Amino acid sequence: MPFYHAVVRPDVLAVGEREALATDITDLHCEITGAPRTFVQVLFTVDDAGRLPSGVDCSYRANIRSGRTPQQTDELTTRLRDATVARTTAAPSAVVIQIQETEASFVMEGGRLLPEPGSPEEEAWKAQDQQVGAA
Amino acid sequence: MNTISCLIQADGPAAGLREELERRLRAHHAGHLDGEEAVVSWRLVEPGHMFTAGSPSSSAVITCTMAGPTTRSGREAYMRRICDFWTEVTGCTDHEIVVSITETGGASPKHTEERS
Repeated sequence: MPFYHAVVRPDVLAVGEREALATDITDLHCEITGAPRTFVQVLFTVDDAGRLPSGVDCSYRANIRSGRTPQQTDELTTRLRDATVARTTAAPSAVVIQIQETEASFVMEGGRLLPEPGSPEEEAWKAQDQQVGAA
Repeated sequence: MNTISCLIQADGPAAGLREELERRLRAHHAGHLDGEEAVVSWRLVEPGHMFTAGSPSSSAVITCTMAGPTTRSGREAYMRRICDFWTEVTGCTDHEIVVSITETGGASPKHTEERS
């Protein structure tokens, strides 16, 4: 976690742009929240069945740890839309973003419960992740 | 009914080990929750569709629903055990497994819906 799941219409996001958009999402999430990069997951589902509502080209469900400020959530939403518009053919009005917050102690990743944002445990968690990333 | 949803990489080791993993998940769930059964489902992600830290992903995401309320220590033990046998069976590392619990009958997660 965070887990960003994007459902996109066919042809809106080129196959070659998926990794670039995933990197954009990783960058913006980490810049805004300070979370380690290795925890950012991005999944793309192509809407071949045509289930997206009319007028929607890309629909995100973003599951993040609870405890973020409203300003952080607003910035995530704004920058996620901007990144999506830059990498796809979707207009800003055709990008829908839903953010769902989950308490950290309901998620285990890297073999540990996730720490609460801003807690002393989070600093130790980030330091450990840097060691893993450098290994 | 409790559920366990497993999102795995189609080209990863877990894909060929689903039968064993499902057996372990069911047994673990029943053992942890006084015999309660769980419906296990699988979703295979084709290469090029999922990324971790901006690179092609090898992660498995396991989402469990169970009746609440749960305790922090209970959740930790439940998820720890899944990580243990998942790494044992598949050979992956703890960093390639995300496990989460959603309580049913409890407080709903907070949602922020936004559209422009």
